Amino acid sequence: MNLLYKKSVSFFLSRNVAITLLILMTVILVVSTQLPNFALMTAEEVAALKVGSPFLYAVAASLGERGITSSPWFYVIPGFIFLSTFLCTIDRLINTRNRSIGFWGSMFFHAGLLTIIVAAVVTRLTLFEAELLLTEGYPLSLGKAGFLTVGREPLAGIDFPEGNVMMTKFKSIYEGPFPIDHEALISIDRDGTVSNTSIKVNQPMNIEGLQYSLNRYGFAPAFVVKDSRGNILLDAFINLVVVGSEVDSFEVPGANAVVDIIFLPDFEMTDEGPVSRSAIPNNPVVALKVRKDGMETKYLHVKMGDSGNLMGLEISFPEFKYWAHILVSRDRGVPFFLAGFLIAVFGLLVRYITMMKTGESYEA
Amino acid sequence: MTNSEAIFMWVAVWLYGGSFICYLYGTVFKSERFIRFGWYLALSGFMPQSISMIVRWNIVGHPPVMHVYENSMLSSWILLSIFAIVRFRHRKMESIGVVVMPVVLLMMGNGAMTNPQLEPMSPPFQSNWLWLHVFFAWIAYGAFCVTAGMGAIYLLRERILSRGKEGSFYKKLPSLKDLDQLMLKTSIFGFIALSVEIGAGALWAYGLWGRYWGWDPVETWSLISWMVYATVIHLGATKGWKGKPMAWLLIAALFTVFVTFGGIGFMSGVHTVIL
Ligand code: HEM
Repeated sequence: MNLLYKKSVSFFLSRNVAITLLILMTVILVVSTQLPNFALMTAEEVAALKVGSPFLYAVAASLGERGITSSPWFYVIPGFIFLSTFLCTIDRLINTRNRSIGFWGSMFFHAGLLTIIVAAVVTRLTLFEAELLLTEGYPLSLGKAGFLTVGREPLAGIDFPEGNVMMTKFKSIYEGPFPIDHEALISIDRDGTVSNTSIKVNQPMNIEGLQYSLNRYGFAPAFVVKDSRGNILLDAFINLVVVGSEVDSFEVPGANAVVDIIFLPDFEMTDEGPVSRSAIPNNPVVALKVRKDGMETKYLHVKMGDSGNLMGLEISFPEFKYWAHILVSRDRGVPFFLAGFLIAVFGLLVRYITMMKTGESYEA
Repeated sequence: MTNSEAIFMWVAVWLYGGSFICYLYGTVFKSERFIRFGWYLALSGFMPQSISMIVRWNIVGHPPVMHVYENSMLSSWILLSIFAIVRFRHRKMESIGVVVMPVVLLMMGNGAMTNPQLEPMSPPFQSNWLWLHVFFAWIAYGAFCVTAGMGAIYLLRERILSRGKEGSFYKKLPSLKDLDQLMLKTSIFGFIALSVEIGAGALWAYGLWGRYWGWDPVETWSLISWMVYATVIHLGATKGWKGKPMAWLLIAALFTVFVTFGGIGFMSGVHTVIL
């Protein structure tokens, strides 16, 4: 036992082991980047790859960037890097006689590196990720019930804040056609006490350790759909996924029909047809098409406040709201990461400056 | 792009082109005078390039850090600054311009082929982490280009020495010992900048997406370059690698930098546009 312990310590203390591990991890990552990356492909492309070249698909699934970095086996390497760096740093701390300032710089750097690896582990154990979709004026629970999806959850569970969250208004500021600011004005209702705050890009909201980051926004036009007898079939805001020339659609309950929509916030009729000059809602118009019983109409352009008739359905477009897609997260590894980063950079700077000042260099 | 900005930029490109030709001629035909011309032309191009960037900064209201055009200008400017600092400290390093200048020209050429539209800072870019991230990225890549340049000069000098044909021209090049020292020191300098770049990028990503690391291709490639340079520095610092193997290694390591470069905005768009 004692011998095994000694052997493994001296193994990890070897300078070659650290270098070999670094090279190994580098090579694995380089290989992974050369394989098809499913995260950058459409679902159809992935499906086509699966059918077309099942072998490449299988290799990419396990060794591609996504596959390899989600496999626990991959993390054995940084685990060993941690061990080797930890033991080596302790060893140098004990056995180095000439402890110059540069030496301490090096110590700090390696300690920072160890802290960053600790941060990665803490993140892995504590990360919580979810999505929240807020439409102006609609309150949702701050707890799990309010989330659109829950991605990663820590094993130890997580306490959610109580109360409701609502986006009261979404604001975009433009300079010419370019957006320079987006802001979701938020009101939080906790036990009847309402407080107001806001979420901007790069300025997330924090509640009880949960971070809410503004990720995307879009339009939610209201539609009232009536059948030929005047019965209201639908009266709702529809959150559109896309803006501009792409098509979104919704079903009309009870009419067995699908309505295709193109939302044109800054509508203009040009020689080449209808376009939206920008994403600014200066003149909101929806292009609507109805598909029913294997038939479909042509696109009809309906201005906000107007209505149109398609296949016996009267569709009006009275107003629109914004929706905001919020990423909710909690990561207890971040303070460790920040600390490790600062310690490592500080150490490197000390090492570098002493090297430049004293002309001292590395002697193997 | 405004006229004045374009004029200054093109003046710089022509001066850099002239500088490269002089460097090439000086190196191939062993003319110290041409190498000196090359250096002077590079320095004189630096002024109009700086002015062109200041003009742009003034109009768009933010430093040139958005999209390919601005990044090309900034990265070539930082590469030249690092080269100039090294040259002012070690006069003999003037000769590495033969490697630095074509890289500068390639970077600027790449930018010149894209749309130099004047745009305000888009919301995802409005973060203090962004300044750190972008500036240190280009400092790192500039430093690594310079180390590769040193590696190339090392190999050239070493070859001539081993043939025993060292004439007066080669005596003007930096000594092998100096190159050895500087290659490692400049790599560490680049490594510090690369560490700041990655750390700042990660913290920026945390505010934007709630995660500081997501294994997207650009992140993976920056980690790859970071590990490659950590390995190179270790080989130098703990295993005593130097000389020819180190010179080759530094030239090879630059490839990882170019791939990361490619990911950041020289092939695809920008790796962070969300809103
Ligand atoms: C993957 C993990 C590691 C990375 C990224 C890394 C990186 C570095 C860097 C950048 C330097 C140069 C700056 C300085 O002097 O501190 C360095 C130096 C050094 N490292 Fe590491 N290191 C790692 C692990 C290790 C391990 C495991 C050992 C021991 C086996 C070690 C021993 C040393 C030594 C002895 C020096 C030279 C210090 C000096 O002369 O001042 N490192 N390392």
